[in-house]
Amino acid sequence: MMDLLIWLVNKGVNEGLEYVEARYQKFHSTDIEVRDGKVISAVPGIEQGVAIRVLFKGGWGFSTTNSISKDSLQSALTTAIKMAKQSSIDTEPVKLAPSTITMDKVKVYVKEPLEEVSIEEKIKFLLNVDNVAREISPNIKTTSNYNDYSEYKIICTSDGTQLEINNSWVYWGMWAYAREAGLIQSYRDRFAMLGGFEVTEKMNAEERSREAAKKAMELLKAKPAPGGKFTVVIDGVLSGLLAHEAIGHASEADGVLRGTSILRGKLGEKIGSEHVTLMDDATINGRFGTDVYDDEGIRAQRKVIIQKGILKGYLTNREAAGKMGLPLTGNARAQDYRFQPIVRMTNTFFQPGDMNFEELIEDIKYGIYAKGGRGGQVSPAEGIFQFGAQEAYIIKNGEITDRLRDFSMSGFILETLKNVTGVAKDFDIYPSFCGKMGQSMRNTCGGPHMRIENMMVGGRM
Amino acid sequence: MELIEAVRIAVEKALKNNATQAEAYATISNRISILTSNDRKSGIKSRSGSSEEIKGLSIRVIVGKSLAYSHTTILDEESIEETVKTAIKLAKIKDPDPEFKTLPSPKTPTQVEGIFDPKILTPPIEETFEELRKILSEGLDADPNFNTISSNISFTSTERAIHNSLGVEVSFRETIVNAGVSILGEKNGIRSLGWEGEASRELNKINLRKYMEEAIEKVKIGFKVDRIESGEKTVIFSPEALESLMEFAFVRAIDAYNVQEGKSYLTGKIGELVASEKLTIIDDGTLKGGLRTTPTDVEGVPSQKTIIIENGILKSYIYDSYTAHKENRESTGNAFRQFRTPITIAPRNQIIKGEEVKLEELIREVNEGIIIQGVMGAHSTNIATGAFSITANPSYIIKKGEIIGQVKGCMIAGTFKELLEKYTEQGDDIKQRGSLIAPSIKFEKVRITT
Repeated sequence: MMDLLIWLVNKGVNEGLEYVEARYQKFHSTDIEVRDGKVISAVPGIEQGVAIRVLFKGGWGFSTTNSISKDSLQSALTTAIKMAKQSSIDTEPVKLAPSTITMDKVKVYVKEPLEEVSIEEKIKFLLNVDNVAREISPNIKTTSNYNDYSEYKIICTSDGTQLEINNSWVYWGMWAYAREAGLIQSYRDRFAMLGGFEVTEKMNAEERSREAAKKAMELLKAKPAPGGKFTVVIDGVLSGLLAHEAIGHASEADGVLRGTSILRGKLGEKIGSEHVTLMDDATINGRFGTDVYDDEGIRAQRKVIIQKGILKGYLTNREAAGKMGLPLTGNARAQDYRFQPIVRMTNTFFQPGDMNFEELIEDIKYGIYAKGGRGGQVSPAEGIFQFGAQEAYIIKNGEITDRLRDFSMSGFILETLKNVTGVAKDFDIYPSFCGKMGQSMRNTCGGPHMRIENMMVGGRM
Repeated sequence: MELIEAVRIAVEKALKNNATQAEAYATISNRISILTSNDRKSGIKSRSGSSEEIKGLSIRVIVGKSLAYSHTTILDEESIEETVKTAIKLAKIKDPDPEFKTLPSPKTPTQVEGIFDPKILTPPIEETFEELRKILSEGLDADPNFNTISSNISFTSTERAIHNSLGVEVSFRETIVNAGVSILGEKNGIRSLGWEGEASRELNKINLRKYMEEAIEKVKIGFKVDRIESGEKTVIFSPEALESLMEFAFVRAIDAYNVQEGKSYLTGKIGELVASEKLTIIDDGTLKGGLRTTPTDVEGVPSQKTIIIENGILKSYIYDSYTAHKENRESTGNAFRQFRTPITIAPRNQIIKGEEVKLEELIREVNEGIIIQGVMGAHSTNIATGAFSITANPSYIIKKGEIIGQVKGCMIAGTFKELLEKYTEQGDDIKQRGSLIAPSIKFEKVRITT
């Protein structure tokens, strides 16, 4: 297959293209869904395809196909060139940041290869963790998912980079629904890491599943949240969501370059309080957002985005780094062969501080303590973000009191981080799939407990 | 290999390998997308054209009462056989599902119109690039405070084939073109974003210039920021804002899987008043030119019109054959799948009907309220309760019948059922956004936090 890609890249170079990148990918996946102890679906699948990206006088062309023959690849290349030529008509030349030529083979550490574990065993795992949740109470219903994925990927570029990558990951997620006297509440949890089936042993899935069921039951007693502006203390999962939504997306240099991030022109400026230090680290062993190389073949790294409140860097791809004179960070990632690499986060988190949780809340007269993520969203262009919490409590005179439900928060990128007045020394990190431009990408986000002043809370009272 | 041939081979091989019943679904889709943007400050013009050709086949086999799926992207006889065997093997180890009755029996597909435009098969790439270049440069020149403009367009054609061992055999082609213009401006430190766009089955319905002009108007309105106090106000949802919320707060609640498992707030509510008596919602898979119109669903069940809510009363959920058979009824033709995924339930064209007035009148009658163009955080809706807590962004303040400016950071929390009960009337600006076909819709006394 490498030979076929080299042939394809050379064909592109001979057509006068400035840059050609060919990516082959073959992946095996297993998706299992169990609801209330019953296997709803168990789907094994195999897929392969090739992506070709080309640059001609400042215009990009891209083509993807899952027909893999010389003829169809030739035809895909022709289409990509046609697109690039059209794209180039009124554009300036693109100067890609120079990359070192890399020839490498990398393999994620796998103890129990996914293809050597029978689907029965995978189903058994999921049925068990689904069942333990419903043992908590007859009023609990469940939906549980198991996904695994193992891929073989080749990246071959006209700069001479040739990479072979073997990657593998396992994901588990569940929803617990509690019903009582006509009321229904839900709580979700998940875990995912790179590796083989041994990941299921690191998940603590049984305990997490039971815990989710208990939380769903407890939420039945929760009251609707008040609306307005409050001092809010968030746990590590939520500070991770804040890291991701409030600042991570806006620091992606493709948006900065195109003018759709509010952080343009802010490098070196103070955008947060001195408590705020934000990292994006693709090198943490086994984490769900970890890569050795990105999809442009650039070595993935550990980067500081914000240091003590000062914006230190953006996450880049070769085009943005080249145009803006920034370092390459290895953040160009594609969901799979069907997509172009775009700038994405990897493992993104706030650094812990030195306070205890008690110190964070002790002088709050009236505020809110929120835990657990229910997803978020951001408009980096306008500088506004939103994220939901699974659990929340009123803080009264430094004490955690009434339980709340259906709680979400909203804020402005350039204001919220300045309102961070305390950071605890604990740390939590959580896997997720993040959506951008139609691509879903594995990543993690995390952080410590944090205190934020003047946070907008959506409520019904 | 032709798709229809591939699905026939798959079913035949499944039966040979001792499947009790079998169904195959194959699809090939071709898409050309063009993404362009111009940025004033950096002078950067960004252009990217892409093409995609993706095909795949999915097989569903039943052995006794056990169901299993498998799929492949390699459509030759050998791969199909291997895929079938994987599914059969899996069915044999899975526990039987006593609630499975049968795959659907053959029925005549519904005659539908306006879902295929041959012009989209070979899109006018050069002309489109030319037009995009014009639109971008004119749009950015329209106001010195406009900084960034982007315009994207995609042309998709899809062919599907469905065949099962009971004799269902359907194949059809459909096309979609999707286009939009987005402008970002900044004036006196206030950022304003305006978007307009549309998806259509027909190439000629797309009008980039019109989207540009409407986006320009939206950005300009947003340059003025005003304040509105928290409290119970009149709220108008634009079709795009309502679609984003409904996807998570309503569509999942009428999905028969969620309903039957008691995970939806609409479980057990058939025949009950769940919305304003003025409101009717219809799920229509037969509408001429609808984005979700097809002759059959992905199980080969003919498309139909299903009344979901009539005059406020919940009449039906949406079903595939499995969930329908569980209740001894017929599928509503709402089975959905990609070749990679098992069958799920998805809406067709969901049409909202009620009391219609002119859009200008809808706005003019508002004493104090907001009009919402987009929502953030709809995906965190709790489908078990219908409770949502969203940020209305962008949204604009209406005072004494006039739109006076943008409101930043306005949040709305409530349940979707409560919202439907607060429906009063709707405009005449009907648009299709995703599965929703609706105009701007007005709700009274909705709690907002600013």
